[in-house]
Amino acid sequence: MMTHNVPIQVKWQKQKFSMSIDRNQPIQVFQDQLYRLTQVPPERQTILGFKGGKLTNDKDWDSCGLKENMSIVLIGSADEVPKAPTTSVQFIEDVSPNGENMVQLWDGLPCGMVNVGNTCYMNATVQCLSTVDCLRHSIRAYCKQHPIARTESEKLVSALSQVFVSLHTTPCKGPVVPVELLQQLRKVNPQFQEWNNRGGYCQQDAEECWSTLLSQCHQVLASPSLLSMSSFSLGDSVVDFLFGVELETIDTCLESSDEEPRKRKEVVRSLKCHISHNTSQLEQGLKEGLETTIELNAETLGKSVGWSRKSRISRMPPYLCIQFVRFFWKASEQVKAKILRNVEFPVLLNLYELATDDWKQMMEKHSDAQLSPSSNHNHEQHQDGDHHAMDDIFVESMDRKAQYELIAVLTHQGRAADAGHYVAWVKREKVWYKLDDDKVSYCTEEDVKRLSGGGDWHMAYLCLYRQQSWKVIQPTDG
Amino acid sequence: MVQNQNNTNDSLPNSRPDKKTENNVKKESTNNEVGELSEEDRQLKEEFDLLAERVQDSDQAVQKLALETLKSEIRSSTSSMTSLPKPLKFMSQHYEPLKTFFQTMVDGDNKKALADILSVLSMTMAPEDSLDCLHFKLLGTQENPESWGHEYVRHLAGEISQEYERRILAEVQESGMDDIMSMVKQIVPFLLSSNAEPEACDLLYEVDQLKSLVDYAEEANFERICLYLVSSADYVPEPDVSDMLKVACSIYRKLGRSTHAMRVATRLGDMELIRNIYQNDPEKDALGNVVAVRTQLALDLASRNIFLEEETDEDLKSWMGNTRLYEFYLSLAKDLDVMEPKTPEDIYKSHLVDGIGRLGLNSNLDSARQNLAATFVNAFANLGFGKDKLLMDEESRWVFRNKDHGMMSATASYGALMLWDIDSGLAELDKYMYASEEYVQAGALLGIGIVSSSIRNEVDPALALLSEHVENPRSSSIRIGAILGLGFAYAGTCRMEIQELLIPIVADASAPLDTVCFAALSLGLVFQGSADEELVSTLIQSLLDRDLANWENESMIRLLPLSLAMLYTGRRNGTEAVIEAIQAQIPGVPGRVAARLVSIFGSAGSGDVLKVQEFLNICGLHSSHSEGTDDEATTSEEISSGNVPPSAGHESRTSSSTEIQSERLPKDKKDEKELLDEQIAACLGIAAIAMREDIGTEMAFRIYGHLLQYGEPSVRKIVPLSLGLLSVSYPRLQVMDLLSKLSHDNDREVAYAAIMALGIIGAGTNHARIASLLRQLSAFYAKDASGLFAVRIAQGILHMGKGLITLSPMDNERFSMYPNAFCGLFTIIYLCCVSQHTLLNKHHYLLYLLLLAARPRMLYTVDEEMKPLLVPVRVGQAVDIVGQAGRPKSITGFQTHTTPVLIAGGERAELATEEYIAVAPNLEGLVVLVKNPHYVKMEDI
Repeated sequence: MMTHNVPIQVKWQKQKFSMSIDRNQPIQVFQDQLYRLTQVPPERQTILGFKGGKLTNDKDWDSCGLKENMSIVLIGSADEVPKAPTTSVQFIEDVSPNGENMVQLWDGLPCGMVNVGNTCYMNATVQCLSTVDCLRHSIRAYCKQHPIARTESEKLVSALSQVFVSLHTTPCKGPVVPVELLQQLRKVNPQFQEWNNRGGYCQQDAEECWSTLLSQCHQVLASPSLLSMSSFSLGDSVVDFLFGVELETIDTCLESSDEEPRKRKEVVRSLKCHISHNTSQLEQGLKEGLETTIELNAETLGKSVGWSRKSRISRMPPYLCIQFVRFFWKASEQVKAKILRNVEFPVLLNLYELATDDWKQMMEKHSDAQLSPSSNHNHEQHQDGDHHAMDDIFVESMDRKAQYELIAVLTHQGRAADAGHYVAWVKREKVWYKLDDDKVSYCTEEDVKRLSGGGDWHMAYLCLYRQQSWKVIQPTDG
Repeated sequence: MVQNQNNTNDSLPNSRPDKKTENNVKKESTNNEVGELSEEDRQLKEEFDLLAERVQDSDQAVQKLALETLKSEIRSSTSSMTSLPKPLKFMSQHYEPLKTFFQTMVDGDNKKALADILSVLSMTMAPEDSLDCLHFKLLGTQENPESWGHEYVRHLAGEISQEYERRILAEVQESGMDDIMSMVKQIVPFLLSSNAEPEACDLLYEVDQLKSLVDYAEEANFERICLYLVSSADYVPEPDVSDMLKVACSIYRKLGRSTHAMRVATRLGDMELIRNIYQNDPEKDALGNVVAVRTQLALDLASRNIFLEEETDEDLKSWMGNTRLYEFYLSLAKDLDVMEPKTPEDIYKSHLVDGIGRLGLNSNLDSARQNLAATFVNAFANLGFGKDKLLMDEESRWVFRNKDHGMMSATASYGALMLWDIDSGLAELDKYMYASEEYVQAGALLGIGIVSSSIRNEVDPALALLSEHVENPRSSSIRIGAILGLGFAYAGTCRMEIQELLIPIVADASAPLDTVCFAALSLGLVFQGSADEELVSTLIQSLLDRDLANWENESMIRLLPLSLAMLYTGRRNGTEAVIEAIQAQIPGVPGRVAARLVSIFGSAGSGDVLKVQEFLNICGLHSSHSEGTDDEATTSEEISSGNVPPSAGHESRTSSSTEIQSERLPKDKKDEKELLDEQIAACLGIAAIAMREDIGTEMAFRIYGHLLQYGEPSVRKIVPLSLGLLSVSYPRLQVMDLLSKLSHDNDREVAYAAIMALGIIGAGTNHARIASLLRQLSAFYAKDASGLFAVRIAQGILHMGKGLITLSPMDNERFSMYPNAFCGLFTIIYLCCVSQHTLLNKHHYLLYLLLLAARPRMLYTVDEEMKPLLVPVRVGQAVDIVGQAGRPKSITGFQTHTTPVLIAGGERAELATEEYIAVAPNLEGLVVLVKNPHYVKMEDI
């Protein structure tokens, strides 16, 4: 009597099983057996190795050529059938109205600005300033609140806001033409209207443009209406909050110890890097700029004598603008001459050395107490304690308060301030771009480091640093 | 005496007047020289003068003595021939007199002896082509010519072949050759014994006696004989090629070198011979290790995708079926420490590129194009590793982040990731077969095909899983997936089941065109080289059924003639008939294109110079223009039949006026298109034919340089990819430089093609220079979606299998072609050329055809049980040693490694230990080693 059970070998993926098939049972039974063994549901089982290819339910064991110890293969998996994600993926090619062409036109490069007649100074300045997100959002919010610009300053700010918006539209729709901004700039500061002898507008000093734009913004944004609207308290002005460096200056008389040192505080919107014969580092130049000797009248001596003036920083702003004092008035030749000296600037700048002792102490306390209420205590010591109090929001790590990261460089190429060419180099989303009017290209950090001067190549004139602890504030307007 | 000489000179009717004066001049000059001779030489000269005089003496005895002296004098000096030996020099003035005297002599020993001497003298003194040397030799004593020195024998051999040719032309009966044949029989053993195997082979080849070489071959000389035979086979016309190879094969078999014999047999493509060797030879093998030899033979057959059904041994079957190839591949990867999956970003290295911005700053907005590129890059880079960081990341659901056909490619890329590992591949792909999206299902089916390509599995899972979807009524994508899957899985197997499944589709005149084309492609792949008559007629009929007016706009329709051509892969003989049939049946361009393609596939890798010339003629044609349309048509007709070469003047005329003409009339446009189609085939054909052999490659490279400069713009577009085909996975500097230049070409199509070609020449090499070129290109084409896509694909191909893969359709020695690989490569390159949009549009999944050519570029040594056996090997630049004396080094600039090692294009490996002997004829792929019985360890000495 022949046994009904036929032993067989089943290979499944990389495993092998020994099983036995009962001849008298239908094929489903075998499939169930396999299911228990491998979890592969019968409808997904493909059983191969029998005569006639795939084993199907309508066959019976005799027609399959079932033999003892034959080896068969089971194909199939118990894995879940993959399903498309519920939220379907959107493709650029579908979204953009021009489909593929859109992608071909724009690949992530930011917008450039058209040079409308020796306006590279303005283009470069605007490009650098547009990296300051908070400034951009504040101006935008202001313009939304005040749709009708009344004063010339407001008109300028509104024009600037428009340019900012176009610059940050993605994908870029082609270079921005800043005609309106230029007109307003020339109205508020007639200096920019100057004509050269060939009947065109003159090249201008970018630093001049920078400070004009900031002071105009300061004027407009200082208005109390903004403060009420803004979701975060900004002190008296967004511009000073963002760029204001508070300096404590001590003048000490060099000739008489009787003379009381004179202390005072001032707020500047940029630090100057003085370039002397042996300046080769930005930090060095900054220090020299903050420690000078001047002639002042000494009351005890009753004459004008030498005083040493030493400034220290008592407030670190979120954005720090550094100006390389490359231009000086050469009286003999009646030109603004340029110092071509190579002054290296770091990508990461630490100003701890240049801070006041009070500030340093405060920082240490901060780091001890983390985010303790000690800032209230400081309030009495510092006039602008509210700034500090507010800064706390952004503080993460104390030693990073004095740590700055380079985000934009405005370079000048040429031998005089009101000649040559200005270019902006900005860092957006960790990538550096060279924004040369409407010519926009990628560049590397190495390229930016090469802008330190020492030849006729582009060299840094203004550097914009951002505090590392500063978090980019997203627009709060609806 | 002198008088006598003058008389005879006058009486010679045959000697031409100029010849006489020449002799006189010679005499004068020798007379002048006499004064400058040293004392010793003068004596010698006088001696010879005397001997010459004595030879012509009337006294037989004197004659005999003089002849013998002369003979011994000459013999003693001709043994080596670095400069003209003095006896020959001094005898020169006596040559003509002796010749004349010879006529007057009575038959006898002396006459024969003089004939011998005259024969030797003729070597230097007889006029060119006179064959005097041979004639006198035949008249002389029949003693072995070797006694007169090597130089004489070689000279004689040369004259024998000339004489043989002359007699053949004069239709002399075979019996009329006896005299020179007996001479040959004397000469050949001497040449063979004196390290002049090439001359021996040449002589036998010239007198059509190559077969007798088998008898002469022995242990001491067979290696050099066979090396010379198989190398010179590249340079002789059909059918001599196969004769030569057959002789080499027989010699190898006679001396028990079965793996060598098999190598030659696979090149011949003679299945009978292959079977015969496989079954009978291992027992007789000189190595005496039957298991090792059998294993090696199975491995060698596996690498060429040949599977002998009659094998019953399970192990051998699995080696021959490639089922465990992936284990060795992964073990190689482990050894080289490259198991970690690579992401597309690892390949792009965009941090090294000057600020490449990320597309789509918004994270929920994907670029379908870029994602598709990433899919391919991921699939190629992690080829066969079974692990990746993109698809198998459950979170990303990468398959669904592709669009439409992109999903198909993405799902199919599982097949590429699991390449050669059927079990894991099927397990992974199974679930996608039940997905609801048709593209995903189609991709799963294609993936099953890819994963099973070149693997023979007993239960045929691919056939079982795919066949039911071939007729899927729901979705044409699923049908295409299943059809192509079958093509991939059974490429080169000639499985009749596939024919039964797919022929109805091809024959169905109402089926959608692309389904038909893909079915034809699969049939072509499966039945490559079979010349199956039913298929041929079905394909021709199918081509006729289609509206050929639409030929230009449908690039896919070109798959029909291409598939037809695949059926003749490697069939150098016997394409003429089918070409004629095609041209007679299919009218117009399609017929001409089909004929070209058949001729290309037939002689792929043959190095046939005549074919190259024929194709070059077509490439050089310039499109016709309105006023001369009819003339041009006839000219091109004539040229394509190879009768009239295009005149240079005609060429320059048309080239100057083409640019204006091409834009004038739509009719002209059509002409241009027609010509273009043929030119595409012809241009690629040059590379396909020349690729296997060094000199041919070099020449083809130059040809392409000319085509770039002087060719039509349409031909220029084909050149980059032709260059790619010319040196697949072999990045030669000159090719790379040229392609790099072309990749910035003003013509975008040329540039894209050059980018793809850069990928192909560096395929699987990780070549640093190409990688950096491509990175620069990615910045350059950052704004151009198609260009960037091409760059990405090229980067993927360059890093294929993390640099462990080669796509070369030949073995590393360039000994023979892998037909599967060639079909895959040629198809994809041809489609790229026919339409730039084919790949860059919805048929991108055809890029997986490249994988038909993929194999690990490794040397993995194993013992006879296929356990890894790690030995030191030297890897270096291969050197051509054919026909060189002594035992020259076959590699240069080598480094010593321990196996497994990677071998790059143009490199060769040799064992650095005497302890083992390799069973394989060349060290590539999986190589079985056996112990060297004569090995003695250093310490033991």
